Amino acid sequence: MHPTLETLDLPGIATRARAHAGLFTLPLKEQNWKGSTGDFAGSGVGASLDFQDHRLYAPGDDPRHINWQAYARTGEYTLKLYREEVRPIVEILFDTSDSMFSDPEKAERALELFYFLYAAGEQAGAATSACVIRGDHWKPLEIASVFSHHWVDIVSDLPPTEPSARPNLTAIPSKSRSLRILLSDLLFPDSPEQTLQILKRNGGRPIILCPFTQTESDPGWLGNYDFIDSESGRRHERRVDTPLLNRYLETYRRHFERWKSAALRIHSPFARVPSATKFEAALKLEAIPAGALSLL
Amino acid sequence: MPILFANPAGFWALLGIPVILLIHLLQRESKRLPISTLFLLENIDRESIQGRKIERLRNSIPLWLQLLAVLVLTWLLTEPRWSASRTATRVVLVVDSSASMSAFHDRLIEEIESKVPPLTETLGTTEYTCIESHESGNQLYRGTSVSELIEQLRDWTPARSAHSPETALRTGRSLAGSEGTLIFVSDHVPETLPFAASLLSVGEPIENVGFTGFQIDNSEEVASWEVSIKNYSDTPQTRRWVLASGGTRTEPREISLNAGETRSLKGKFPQSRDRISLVLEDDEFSRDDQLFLVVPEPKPLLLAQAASPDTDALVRSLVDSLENAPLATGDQTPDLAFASYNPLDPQPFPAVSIVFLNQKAVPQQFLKGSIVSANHPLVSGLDWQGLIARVTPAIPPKEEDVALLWQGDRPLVLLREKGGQRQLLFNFDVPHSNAERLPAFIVLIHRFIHRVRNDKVALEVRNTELSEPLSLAVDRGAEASDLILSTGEETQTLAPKRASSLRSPRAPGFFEVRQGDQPLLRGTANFADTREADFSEATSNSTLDKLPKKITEQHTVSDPWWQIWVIALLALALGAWFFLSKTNRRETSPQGTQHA
Repeated sequence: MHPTLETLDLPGIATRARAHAGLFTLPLKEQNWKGSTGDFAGSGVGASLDFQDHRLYAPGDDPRHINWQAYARTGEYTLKLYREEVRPIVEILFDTSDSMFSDPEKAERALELFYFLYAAGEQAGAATSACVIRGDHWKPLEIASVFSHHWVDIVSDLPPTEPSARPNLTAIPSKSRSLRILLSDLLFPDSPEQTLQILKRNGGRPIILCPFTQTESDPGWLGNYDFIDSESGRRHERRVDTPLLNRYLETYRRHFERWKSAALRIHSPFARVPSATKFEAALKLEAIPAGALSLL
Repeated sequence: MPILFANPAGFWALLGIPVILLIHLLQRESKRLPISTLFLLENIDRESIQGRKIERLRNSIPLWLQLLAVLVLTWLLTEPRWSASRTATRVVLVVDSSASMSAFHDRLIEEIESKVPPLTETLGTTEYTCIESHESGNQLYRGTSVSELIEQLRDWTPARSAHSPETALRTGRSLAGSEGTLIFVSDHVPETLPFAASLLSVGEPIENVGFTGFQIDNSEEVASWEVSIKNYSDTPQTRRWVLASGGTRTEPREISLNAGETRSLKGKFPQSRDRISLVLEDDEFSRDDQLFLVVPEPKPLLLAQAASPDTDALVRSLVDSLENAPLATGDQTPDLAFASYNPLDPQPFPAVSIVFLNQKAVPQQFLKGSIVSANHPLVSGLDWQGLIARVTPAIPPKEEDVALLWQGDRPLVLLREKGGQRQLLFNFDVPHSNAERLPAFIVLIHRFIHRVRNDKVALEVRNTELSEPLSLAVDRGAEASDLILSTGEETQTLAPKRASSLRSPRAPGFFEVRQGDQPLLRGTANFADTREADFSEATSNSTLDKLPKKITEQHTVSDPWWQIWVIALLALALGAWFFLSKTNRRETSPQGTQHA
């Protein structure tokens, strides 16, 4: 288990997350989903009360849907089609690389988001599933393991990865037309387009939530540092002066600009969630405006 | 306007610059920091310096403020000054010309060479003047070259007796002016030094043994000598001594003296020798280690007896009491005649004579009135109150007569000097008075004879002290030859009219003075100032240490903006502190909470 996780009050975080789920929800109403019968509009024709269209009767159609009033007027069998109501599928992809837990604040914010997403999905009646990912390795989580917090042990069993390794989403089976929420700090050098394409496959709708700390976004370094990579433990001695710090800040900004631009191109909500502010305020900064989450 | 620094030691503050640069060059201890964005950092500036103890100098405001502060501090500490005028700085050296300084001659030169030039080295041209310390002392040097001053001092020999330097210091102060520097160079420390003079004392106690005096007795057929030797030091000393005469020397003999002891040595002049020298083993002060002696012999004075029989006994006793004064015989021309004057049978007086009034008939009455002597060297200090003289006709007075003694209205003793005449006239009946029993009478006659003898151009043999004025009677005629003083090593020539300035040699030894073929003096010159031979008070001391600052202050003006520099220094220090603390706050603040 990552040392930071041992120090965090997971039950308390989960409890707060459930409460937050009463304030915010996932953006499930903004798209037609596919899934088992549920409360959200499906992409197909269903038995809901919402009229959708007319079409001519074809053999095999349910004769109960023939519009007899129209037949009386026209003599043609037409069918009255209603919108399908489905239970959407929410897939939470939780990047559990060590960088997510390198800072206690960031770790707490990541866990808050994880528990919140799961709670919000369940509260919305979506078929919510989650898996933890570390580099090329991943494990699906049982629902019981999430709120019993045994998932932490599962994460601990995942083998270590190369530093700044990209979470390999390719191997994770995804259900079609699901809402795929990637919870990651995105601190890996790979192209964002590749990751987003994987998230978007099979008609999926990606949402990216990116917790971060100001130690990453505006570290205020000045002087001599012996940097220790949070994932590999590799040491890196560096004299940081103002010009170097400015170049770092510019690189950091451009890194996330690329992610934001790539997400915009595929109309996927992308939101960075700061760790230093309160959860509600943090979500209202980017997640709500970007459509990654919505207010109840 | 040339700039100088009153406190060059202040430049040590410049060491602060490398110290500050070193502090800024040294990397501070690295802080360990977990990082999750290392892949971003690694892509930046791969050429940046890693893992070195010395880093490139960071151009920072605190660095420049600190460097400026060091420069301002250095400026303040060095106490910069500007020359107030372009006139040369005057340094006047009054060097002690007493003989004791000869023991420290080399040291004197070393000390002056090493301590005097630095006094004014920060200023422009320095004019040095060096004069001797005795009254009417010579000016040894005047100029701007220290090396030339030193050369002059190398050739200079101090040989004077103990004296006060006050007159020379007064002269020195007038030469230096109120702002000049006056330095008295001696071998001892005077109680006070007038005229704001500084002291450079170069002496030290030395163990000196030397001759302190001598006595020669030539009353017997073979003259004898007796000399005294003194150990001036506070430790027992042993010296060897020899007697030299002609080309022969005695075997060296030792003499041991306790601390401060004086001991006499006696001996006779070798047969047919009238000059000897006694030589002590040399020590640091050599002037009193040799003693040159001759058997003294005054100038011969030929006397003549032309007095009445009543004065024969008196004249005979007077002649017997005189040294080297025989009665003239044959065709010899006497230098002085004893004559008598009978007012009843007056006769002319010899040109140079002592005349006793002698009335054949015994006068009945005594002269009355108080006896008063004139203010004249011949009768100075003589007591005539016991004189009883009788009334007689007087010697007819002349206009040139000088009355040396009066009783009432009667001049008792007259001095008649005019042209070639020199007569001492006793204007009372000497045989019928009690003058013979009066010391004043005998002394007066001896004084007169001494004057006559002194004025005679003839050979005299005597022992003198070093640099003793030699009052010699010389031929001052128009064709008179120059005076020549020779010591065997050097010869000094002097015009006859300047004979009064003739002095015995400054170095111990035999010498002779001649005028043409006429020998005037054969004598010796010996060191005789025992005060100068005593080095117990000799010491080294210097009050020159404070002079450079004083001289600099007198000839320069201080930086008028020093208050501004002080304020600037404070501002720079505060600025550096402010920026440093600001930087430290940034570097030491916990990450993540810094901007919270």
